[in-house]
Amino acid sequence: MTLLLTTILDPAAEKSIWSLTSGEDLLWVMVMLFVTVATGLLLAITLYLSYILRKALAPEPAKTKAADTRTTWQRFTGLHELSQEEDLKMDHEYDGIAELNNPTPPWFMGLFYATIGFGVVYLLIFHVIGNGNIMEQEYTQEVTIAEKEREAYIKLVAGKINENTVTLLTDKKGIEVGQVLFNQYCTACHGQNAEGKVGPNLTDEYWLHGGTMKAVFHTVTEGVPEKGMLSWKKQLNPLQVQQVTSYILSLQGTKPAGAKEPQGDKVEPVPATPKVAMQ
Amino acid sequence: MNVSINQPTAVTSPNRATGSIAIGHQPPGGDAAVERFAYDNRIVRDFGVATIIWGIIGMLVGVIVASQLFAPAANLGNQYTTFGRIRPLHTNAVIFAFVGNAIFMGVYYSLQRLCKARMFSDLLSKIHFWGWQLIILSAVATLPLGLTTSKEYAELEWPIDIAITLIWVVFGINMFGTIIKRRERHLYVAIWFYIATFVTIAVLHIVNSMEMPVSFLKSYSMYAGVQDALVQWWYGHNAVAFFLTTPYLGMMYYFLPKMANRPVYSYRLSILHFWALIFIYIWAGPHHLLYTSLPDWAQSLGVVFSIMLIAPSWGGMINGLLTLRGAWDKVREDAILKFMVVALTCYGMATFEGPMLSLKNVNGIAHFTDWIVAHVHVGALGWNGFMTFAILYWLIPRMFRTPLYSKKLLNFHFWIGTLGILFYAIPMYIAGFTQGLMWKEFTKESVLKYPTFLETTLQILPMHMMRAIGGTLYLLGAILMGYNLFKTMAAGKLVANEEAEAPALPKLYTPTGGDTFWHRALERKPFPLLVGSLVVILIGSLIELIPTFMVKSNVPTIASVQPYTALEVQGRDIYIREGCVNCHSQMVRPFRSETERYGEYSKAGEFVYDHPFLWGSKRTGPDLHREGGKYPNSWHYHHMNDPTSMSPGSIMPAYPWLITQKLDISNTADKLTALKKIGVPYDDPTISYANEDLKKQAVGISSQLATEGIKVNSDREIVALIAYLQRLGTDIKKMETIQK
Repeated sequence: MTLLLTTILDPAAEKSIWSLTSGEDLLWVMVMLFVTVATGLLLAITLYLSYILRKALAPEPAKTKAADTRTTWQRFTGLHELSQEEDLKMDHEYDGIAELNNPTPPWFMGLFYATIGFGVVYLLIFHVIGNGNIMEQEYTQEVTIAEKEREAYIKLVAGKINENTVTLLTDKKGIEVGQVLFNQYCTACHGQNAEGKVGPNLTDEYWLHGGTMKAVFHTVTEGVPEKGMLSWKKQLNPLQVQQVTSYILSLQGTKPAGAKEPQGDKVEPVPATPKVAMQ
Repeated sequence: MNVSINQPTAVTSPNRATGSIAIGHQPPGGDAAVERFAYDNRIVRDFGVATIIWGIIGMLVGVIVASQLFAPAANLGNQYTTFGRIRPLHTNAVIFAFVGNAIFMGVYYSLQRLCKARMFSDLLSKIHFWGWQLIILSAVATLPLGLTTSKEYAELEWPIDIAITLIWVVFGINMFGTIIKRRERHLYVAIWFYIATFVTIAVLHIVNSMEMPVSFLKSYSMYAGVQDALVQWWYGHNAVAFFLTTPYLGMMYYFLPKMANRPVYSYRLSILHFWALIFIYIWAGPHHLLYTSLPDWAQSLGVVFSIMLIAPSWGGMINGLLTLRGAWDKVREDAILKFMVVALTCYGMATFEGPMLSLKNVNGIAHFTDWIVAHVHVGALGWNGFMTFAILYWLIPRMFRTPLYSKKLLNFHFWIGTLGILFYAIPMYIAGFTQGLMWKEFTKESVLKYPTFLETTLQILPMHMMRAIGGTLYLLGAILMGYNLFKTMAAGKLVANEEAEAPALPKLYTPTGGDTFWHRALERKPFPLLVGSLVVILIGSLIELIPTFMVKSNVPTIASVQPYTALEVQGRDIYIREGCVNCHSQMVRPFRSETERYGEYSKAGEFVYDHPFLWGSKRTGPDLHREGGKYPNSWHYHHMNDPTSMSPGSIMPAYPWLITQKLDISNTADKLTALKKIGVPYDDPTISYANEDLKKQAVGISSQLATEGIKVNSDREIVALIAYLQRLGTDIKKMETIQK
């Protein structure tokens, strides 16, 4: 829908409004079609009603007609009165089972033709008008939109935070958010209390890839793929990395139970510089 | 070949009613030779009893499997009863043992009466019965042992596949023999459905089961990757169509008018929906593979043909429900008819939902979730289960010439069964919808709201508990039915050979009037009808399958994708043995949510050496296609030994036996040779030095583990499995490095 609207509203957009690229767009086109058909039906019904009304006001002499006595509803559903059943019975029985020669219900045929129509339209849209690369197009479009949103957001909240400008957070709120993030993403490898599991102990003074704010920020953001440390820059934005890094560094010297043996080089504990977190 | 107990004897009946003589019968006043014969009820009883017993067993396994999804300890810490291995046992038991036996019960009862002839050969009937039960027993023996091809609903290994083919042929000969010696000119609609079932299942089973044997109980699928997936779901979808639907429609057309004592609503509708159903159904398989590496054009065919299926499949439901028109007062009284009405309604719901799930935007949410599980169970519990129950309750008192033991129990079964379906289906719909949306949700920071897969699993555990309760209620109903019916059988005596008589069919026949229509003509010619059905189902199959095999552009090759090493092949076979594919997919779909969560989406060219494909159909755990290199080896070691240590709250069972069991490397070279025969480019030195290479790689992994403090011998199964997991989805990364 978004695509459809933007292309209609924005004539500068490259895509023609006819190149539907997602199932959702198709759905909206179908909905519009249905609305059109419904409007047409409504018009027809109004005309019919006015016709009946005129007829009732100025009655014509009745014409004789060998009529189907069924109501419109009965005709639509393809049903006959049960009393007429004997006439519909076919001259054949199978182990006592008789068959009636009822027609296929008109609504049923309508449904069948409508679905066939849907199939033809679907294939036309995606494989005759479109180039047939449905998934690839949908994906690229989805990711492009998301990237734009992401950039806009980061600019707004975390634009100034990067490896060189990052600072240690000491406010309670920032550290708490960092703790939530840590519990969510990091405990699988570093343990519930950062005591170290598959990954190293993060509470001692020993660091494999540096223990300064900058170094830890870098390790979390980029990861150390050859050692199994993931790069988190896609899951966490710089603000979040700052929070989780600050939480990790706040754990220095907590000596949790079952702590893993020290790995790497000793780094002096980070001095807790009292600095107000960014707004 | 006729070994009937009562040989037909020709007698002249002086008192033949001269009223309405159906087409094809002797004109009144002529010397109508009435033949006496007997219907074989014993074989119907046997299949009926087997249906009851296997039904209860299959459902019981289902309840155990369902319990493991919130209490993994319900596997009893035992490798033979772990989810991955017994989930296929559950599906196979319900589809092929419960429903399969019910089909044969219904066919053997109705076919004899609709053809006015005893089954062609009592011996073939017996071979069919015992052969089928042996096949089921062999499934019960092999699946828990981990002997599986891993292809859904076709997991049985190659010798059993051959046995299935042979028994199916026995069934076919018996069925066509009966049709040929019939005393009824035209074939009733039920028989068209039986014929279409026979021919299509034969084609599906043979094409899908093409395997390259390694040893007596191990084989590799002849097809690889995308092709294997397409063939598998062409089979899987049409197993639903031609094993769970068409024979049941045939049975519906016989038993429902009999039960309600009403004429079938519309002959014309039955013709239309029969041909439309078998023609369109066969195309719809690719809707199981939407948003996968299957080419777009094949996916689109799956979508549009699934949508077009609504009307043809509803044709059966409408014809059934309208047949009950004028008999609704009976439905109020008669629980058997109630079962039928619920069965037809469930059929209608499932066949409406199926096309809706084939729309790609709906499928994007529902696929890989419990929504699909709910969908298939509405079909299995409602349509197949309830109609089977109705037929059993109707048949057994008739064949044993005694009233049903307890009508109260029958009513109770209906209500507890219905309640069971609701308790099962509704939570699963909620669970599927919830999880599907959670997977896709992003926060305003543009990161996944639920990045840890496990969070979404834990969210739906209460629904899994409700599902197990629903399943238990349904099982309880089936047990009560078993009790009720066995009591009924004990109270009566089986009429093993039911006397019947019918005039012999005159050889000469001149059709007149409405009888000359082309469809009428087909109805008296079983073989043209068979060929007609075959042609109709082959059109869709060939258009779908052949281009995918022939056109190179359908599977663009990727240069950096290499065959698995010997150790990885062994690890992959352990992955297959443990049924990991039942919970983990290996297909990252081209969605932002998936590429963020797992990595680059899966490409068709990455699977060219995957015999069989392992894309999975349900995610109980996360996708594994980009698992390689994500975690250190020790992570995998700990995760297998005790999943909760790495993922707190995980519902994955522990696999401690992988650490203690020694890897069987006696067949490594045979495996590589077999794979080479079906197109994996292993050269001769690789095959002859297979085990040397394997050991070298294994030692590498175990010494790497040792540096992290884990002592494990290099000859253990865990090492091979880790090797395979670390390889998954990494080849494409090499390509990126080359391009850089």
